[in-house]
Amino acid sequence: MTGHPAGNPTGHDARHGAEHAVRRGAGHDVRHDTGHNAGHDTRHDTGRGAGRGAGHDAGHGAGHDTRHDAGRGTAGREEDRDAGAEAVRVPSRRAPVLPRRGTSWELFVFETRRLTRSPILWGTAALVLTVQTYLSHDQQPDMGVDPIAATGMASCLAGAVLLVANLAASRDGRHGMPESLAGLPSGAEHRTRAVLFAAPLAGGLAAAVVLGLHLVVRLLSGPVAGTLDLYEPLAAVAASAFAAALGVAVGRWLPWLIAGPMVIAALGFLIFQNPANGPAGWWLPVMQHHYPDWPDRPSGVHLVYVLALVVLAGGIASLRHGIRPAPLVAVVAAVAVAVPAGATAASVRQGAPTGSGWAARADVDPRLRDRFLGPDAHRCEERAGITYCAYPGYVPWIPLWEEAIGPVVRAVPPERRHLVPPVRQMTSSWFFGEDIESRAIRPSMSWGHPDQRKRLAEDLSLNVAGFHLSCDARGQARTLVMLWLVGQTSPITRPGSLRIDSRLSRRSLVDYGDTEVGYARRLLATPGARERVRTHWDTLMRPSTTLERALPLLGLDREFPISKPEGTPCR
Amino acid sequence: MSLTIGARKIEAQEIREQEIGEQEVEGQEIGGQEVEAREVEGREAEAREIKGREVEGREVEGREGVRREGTRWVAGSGDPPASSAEPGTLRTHSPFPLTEARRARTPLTPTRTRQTHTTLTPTGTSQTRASLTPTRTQRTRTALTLIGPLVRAIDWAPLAAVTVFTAALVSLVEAGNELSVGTALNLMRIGGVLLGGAAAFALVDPVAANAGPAPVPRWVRQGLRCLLSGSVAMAVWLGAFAVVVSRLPSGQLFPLPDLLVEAVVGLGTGLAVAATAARFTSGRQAALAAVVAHLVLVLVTMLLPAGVQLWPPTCGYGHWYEAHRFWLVMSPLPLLWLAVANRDVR
Repeated sequence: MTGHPAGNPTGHDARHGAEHAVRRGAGHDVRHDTGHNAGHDTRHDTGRGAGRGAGHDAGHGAGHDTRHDAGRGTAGREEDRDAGAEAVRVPSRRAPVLPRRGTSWELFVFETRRLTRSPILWGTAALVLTVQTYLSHDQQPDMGVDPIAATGMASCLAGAVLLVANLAASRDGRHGMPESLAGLPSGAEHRTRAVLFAAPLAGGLAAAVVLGLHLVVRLLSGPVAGTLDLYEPLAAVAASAFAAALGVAVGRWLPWLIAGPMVIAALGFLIFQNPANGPAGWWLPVMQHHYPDWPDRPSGVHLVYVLALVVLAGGIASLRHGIRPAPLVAVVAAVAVAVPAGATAASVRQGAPTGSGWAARADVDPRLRDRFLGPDAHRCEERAGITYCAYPGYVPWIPLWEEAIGPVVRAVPPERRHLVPPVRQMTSSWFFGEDIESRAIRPSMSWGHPDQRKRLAEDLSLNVAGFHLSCDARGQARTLVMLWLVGQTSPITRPGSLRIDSRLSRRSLVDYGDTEVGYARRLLATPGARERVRTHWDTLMRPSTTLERALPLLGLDREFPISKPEGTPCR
Repeated sequence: MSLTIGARKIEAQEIREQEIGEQEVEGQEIGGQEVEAREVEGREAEAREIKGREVEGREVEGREGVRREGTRWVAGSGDPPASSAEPGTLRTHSPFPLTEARRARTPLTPTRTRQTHTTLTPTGTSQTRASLTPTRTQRTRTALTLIGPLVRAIDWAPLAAVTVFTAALVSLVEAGNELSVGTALNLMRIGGVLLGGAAAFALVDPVAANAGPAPVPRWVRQGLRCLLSGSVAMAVWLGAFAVVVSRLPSGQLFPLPDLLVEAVVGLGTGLAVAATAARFTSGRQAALAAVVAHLVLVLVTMLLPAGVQLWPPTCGYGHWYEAHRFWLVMSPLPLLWLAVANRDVR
């Protein structure tokens, strides 16, 4: 299989020579009937077009296929009928000689029909849709992030598209087809063109269906935050089309079927490594690494870049059949568009702190300082006496936050609710620029994980109970009340790490032991606990009130050993 | 009705049989030069015809390496048969002699002659099939003889291409720097998947449809193909592993046994799926089923609950040991599947 004898009919045996003679005859007929350019037709029919197909299999052992076809069992024959022979028959059914345009159209329709029925394509599409929907099912929809995350998963679909397009483009080199196809008036170039138009169409359709359905599911699955940038899902569709065109190019230029998976592996690895690629990742067709608090993505330019890549790959695939003006112009134009577009996209710096050492407000990305930390960064509204401030686009999530802390707020005596701090949304990238002196409950820019609900309840309870610094709260009565407040919405557990979002997590500010947890659970199960807490609120909240003293006030029996603080006691 | 086989054709067949390995049928050794005056019983004749097909199959299968034999076969069958037009006639000049005999559906019983022609009379057969079943030793010997032609028949180009690709991958990624364990894991997994996909091309037998009645069972032929390509793929993978380990920071945990289990499962799954696909199609595209299967496997394992990690991204952390214990327990499954998929098609 070394050396691709493309377009080189020399060296074929007498049988091949005879076929070329026949083909030349056919070419003359076509030229005569349709009045096409003589030189073009002859070159096409005798040269790279059909000759490539024959040469391809010659690389695998000329002479074999004839014998193989003659003696092939029923399975092989059926496959031929399915795969290649039908393609051949489509033009020949109508008339012995067809105008070129008609043949190309018929081939395109055939390929489109065949590719849009591919079980690999739709099986992967269903799987990708299921996986992406499953992975995002516990997160609230955010249209600023979801389409981008789906783009990453759609890379798997693009891989399947590449494979299917590759198989379609290289089909006429298998199934013993070269000899059968050699006598046709339309050559390999027409078949390439047909697949080249059909495969991106089918691949793009599959990606559009997956992205569309996924976004519909997301839109229906709760209050939606963020704004949809239509270029993002379109970029995924374009990436799928690019994979298809690349599959055709690989199928035409590289004789081994394994080349397709190798290209998938290389591109897949690079895309998977995108978090480490930095802005250079924009040179790849898929750039799925993004956070909602990062600068705006150059999505429009990237879409143009990917579309240019589609044309580039298509042109390269067409150039396999000879250097013609149309594909050459397409390649040059595509490069002329892709290079500046890619460079523009890659020049957009991702969100990263500037400076070094301890990060402060001055180190926040200047493009985003005002957007996330400025005085007008939040949209605020008041609900049940509590102020909720969200970034523009995230206001629909305020009811979710209210639902998470509402029971805790209601457990606080009304006369003490002024202790409840405001709820202000924070970013995970620029949290160090926040005014940490100001008391606030800070939900992040994602919502859905149980830890996030618990964190809000815990922050509120700590604030209400007067814990503002890291300390050991063992043996104090207010620790018990604080845990009881958390228990209004979340399970009471030992202090541990709580997830803020996919990037950050946080340890509890105060330390406590099993004793406090045990009594808090008892208190939660005690009828009339809310009234007792309300009655003795001031006593219980005093740092000097011990747990032993609180137990009778709350109607609890002494069950667990009371331990002394192990670290700095809370004051 | 009588059937005549030209002596030269039998000679040619004999040569083929010698090459494929000497086998005893009904206590009589086929091989050597006592061809012309040999007693041929009905089933023996069938067996010999079957062998003829097997040889034909091998020629086509190993088209690049064994074409010389094919030429000899054609040369040996130069004489047109005397009565080739008669129904029930074994037309040995055909590249597929059995096709005609089978179509006739007439059991052939030869009468013993010591002439240069063997006459077969179609009657009922009295020989049992069991008497034709080769012993284990004979089968092993035949299988060993097959290795050479199979090595020549297998399409090694995909494995060669993937070997070059893997070598480039493990040496060029983050070239000049130490590899991080996460990247190293990804590289080994990508290399393993590609090697599995490339090894699957060895299972593609273009003349599988004609090799059905060969005396060497399909599972031996396909099993040998798996063994040959699988061992090469594993050797390449181990080489890649050595390169990756040499690029890791010293003292970094990168356990060979665990990764080997992953590679064996991946390779086994790829080969098993490709072997299944090869049952339905004889084209090279059957091998790509391995790649599709790997893609599906990775996607499906993503659907598992958050607590179940089957491809832990960090060595020794998370669910690393549980995952690899799981894969170790599961590793015989693909191999069993492979054995089932390599059965005879009919």
